[in-house]
Amino acid sequence: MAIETKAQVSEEQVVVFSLAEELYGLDISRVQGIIKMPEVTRVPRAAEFVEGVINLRGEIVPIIDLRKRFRLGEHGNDADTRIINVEMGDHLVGLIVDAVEEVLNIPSDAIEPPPELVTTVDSAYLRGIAKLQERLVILLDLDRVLCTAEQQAIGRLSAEAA
Amino acid sequence: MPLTFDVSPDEIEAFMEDTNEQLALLDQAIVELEAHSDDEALLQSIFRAAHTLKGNAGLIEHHRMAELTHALESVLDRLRKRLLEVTPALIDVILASVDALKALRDELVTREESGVDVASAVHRLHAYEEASAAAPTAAEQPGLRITPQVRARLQAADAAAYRITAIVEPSSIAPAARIYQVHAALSEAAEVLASAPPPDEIEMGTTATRYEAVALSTRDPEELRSAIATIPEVADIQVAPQAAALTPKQSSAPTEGPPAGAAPQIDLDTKVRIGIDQLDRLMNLTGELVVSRTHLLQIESDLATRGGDQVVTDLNQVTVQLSRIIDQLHEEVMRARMVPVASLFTKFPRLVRDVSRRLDKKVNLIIDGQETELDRSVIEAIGDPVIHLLRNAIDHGLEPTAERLRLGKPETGTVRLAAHQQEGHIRITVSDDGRGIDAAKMRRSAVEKGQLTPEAAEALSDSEAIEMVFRPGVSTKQEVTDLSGRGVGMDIVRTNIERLNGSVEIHTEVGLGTTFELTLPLTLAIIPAMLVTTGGNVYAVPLSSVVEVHQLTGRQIQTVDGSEVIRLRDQVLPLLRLCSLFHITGSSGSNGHRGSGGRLVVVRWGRIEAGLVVDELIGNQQVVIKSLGPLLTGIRGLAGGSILGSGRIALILDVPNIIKLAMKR
Repeated sequence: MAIETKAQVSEEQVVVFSLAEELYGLDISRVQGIIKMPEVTRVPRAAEFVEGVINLRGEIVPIIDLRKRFRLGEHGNDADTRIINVEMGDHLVGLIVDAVEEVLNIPSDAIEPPPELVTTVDSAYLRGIAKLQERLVILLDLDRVLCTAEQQAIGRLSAEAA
Repeated sequence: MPLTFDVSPDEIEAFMEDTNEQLALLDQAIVELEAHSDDEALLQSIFRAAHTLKGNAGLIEHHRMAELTHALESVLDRLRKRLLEVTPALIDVILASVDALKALRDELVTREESGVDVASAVHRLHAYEEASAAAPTAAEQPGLRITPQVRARLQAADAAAYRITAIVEPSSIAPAARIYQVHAALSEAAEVLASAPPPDEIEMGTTATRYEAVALSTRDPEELRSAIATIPEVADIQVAPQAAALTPKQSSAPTEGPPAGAAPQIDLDTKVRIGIDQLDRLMNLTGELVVSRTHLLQIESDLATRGGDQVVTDLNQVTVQLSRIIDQLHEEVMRARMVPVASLFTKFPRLVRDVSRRLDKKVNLIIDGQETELDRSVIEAIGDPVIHLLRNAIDHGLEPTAERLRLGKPETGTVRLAAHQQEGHIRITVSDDGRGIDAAKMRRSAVEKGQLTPEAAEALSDSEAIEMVFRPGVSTKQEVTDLSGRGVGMDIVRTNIERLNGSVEIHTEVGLGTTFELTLPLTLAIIPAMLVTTGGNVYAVPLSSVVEVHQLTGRQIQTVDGSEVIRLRDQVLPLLRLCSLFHITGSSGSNGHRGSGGRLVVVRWGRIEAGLVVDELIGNQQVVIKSLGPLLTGIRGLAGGSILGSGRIALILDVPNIIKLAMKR
């Protein structure tokens, strides 16, 4: 952590979304866009949490169901369901969430390191928890979420090939 | 400690581009030099490449690289001036320093020291330089200038031509006078056509301590030698006949040093360099156009069936016109991506030399069809398979030298690498004149390794037995070398080639040799495919794997050992149900269930044929292949995805892997 001084409180812009009755936040600089559920082409033999691929303006983009990713139980898609498209290296990956709430400016000093055993999501994927008045926003470490997703997907494939 | 270079990214790009070009040229030309040590033009081009490298390294202040190229350049200069002889050992040292230069080049990207010992590499080069006569370095001593007039005289003369060199001892207090004396003495005994330093410089009092001349004389070399030897303080007098080196072939470059470091001639008016990624984007857009065109034609035919009027006729004219333009555009963009296969093949003489020297075999590599053009993506993809086939040909194919001699074969084995275009495909062959693949030996080996029962091995036809080289873990080689013989590789060669929608075939004859024939599409970006639906998804089957299409009824299906098969003509065809293979549940069609009918697409992988059972056939179409993204690459059975004219995504089937998956079950 960099040295912080009270005099200059920096802020982070975060896209807040809900997933299984809890609020989560993603660094806005990684978010490329938010769309409603389009037609999804299912991909056979893909990892369980990979919902399929979509056609995003002529590009094929894989979609991850974050509920499945974090083992939060099925929900089914409804009118609020959204896909948040995030950048992963040179590629885009879509994340299915229950609903997108708002974009928040969170002061850095409101962010605390992830506590152990408090959240329903494995703390390895968390960057911290923001405490705002009466709300808690769980900040996701996107690289960890995607990277482990990729490793799992690849691990599964090579186990199959062996 | 990270290295720092004072260069901008743009400069690095330019440096890399040029440096890679020069290094590739060196690799190829130096190997060629070993066989053609008297090729003046070749020596010149090697020297120029080294000189350019030195300049580049100096420009970005990569001092260690500059130091090594300088040492390399001096040795090459001695070669060029015939002061050093081409030997395999010298070529080894030069190639080793080229390898070191490659590592030094990479430092620019990694920003870390590569661990190349520049000092000892320079030392090894210097050892050769010193071994050839202690003479001033190239920088101080301009070479002998042979003008075309002199060359004409040399060729026309009936007297013998000699090259004379002499060195004034360093202890001499008046070297200029000694040089003058040597020149005068030689001029009395012979007709001096050219000298270094030139005569006018000698008259004025030269600073050089080394004298070199080409002269015509009717006297014998010893007389010339003794004429010079009478002059004090002159050592190392050499009188050698001047022959081949100065009677160049008609086409060869002029011998007088061309401006060192001159850039290769590029016709700036007709060529523009374009980034590969930009070309890829153009290609993708063109691909989308091709797909949209198909969609437009579809709409047009739908309209026409609903009752034609003037609007439809007009639409028809526009679509026909548009189709023609799109086809031409597509062809042009494709052509822009084509590069001669030479860009890959030029690496191979070096590879073959290294492998054959390590295995102590004599190999003559013949390369044909270097000018054949291929899509860049295909060239990138076939590099490793071809390298593997070449290594295999030398290691497994060619017999050891002693055995070849015993068999009455030429001592030097021949490996031929050829490329040519044929009917929209490219064919690449790697052949050797070695021992060939013995079907009986393949059978024995498979039984010994427990891969087949003796009965199963006996049941194989010769060609089936030979095809076993493509199985993992099969090798007939007795001992394992570090190059090949582990039995891995050939199966990967086949898998890689087939992933590109290509095929591999073997032709072999015991005692005469083996030919591997790779057939590949000209491009990977767009392929013709058959679109089918199954379980609500659209799949594209590459047409290169499709044999034929049939209607399938449940009654045709029989069961053998629990697997579904049908009898097609006199052949028993195993059935593959995509749904069960891909674990698709809730299929909308009925074909997911055993015993049900549907459409049958007969597909082929090598010599294996199988029937894919699908719901519906949509038709044939050109599809643009796209990656499925980072989370989904490498799924067995899928080669990628494609966006159809309707906006839907079709998944492209990887037929070889689907058949392999099915065989495992």
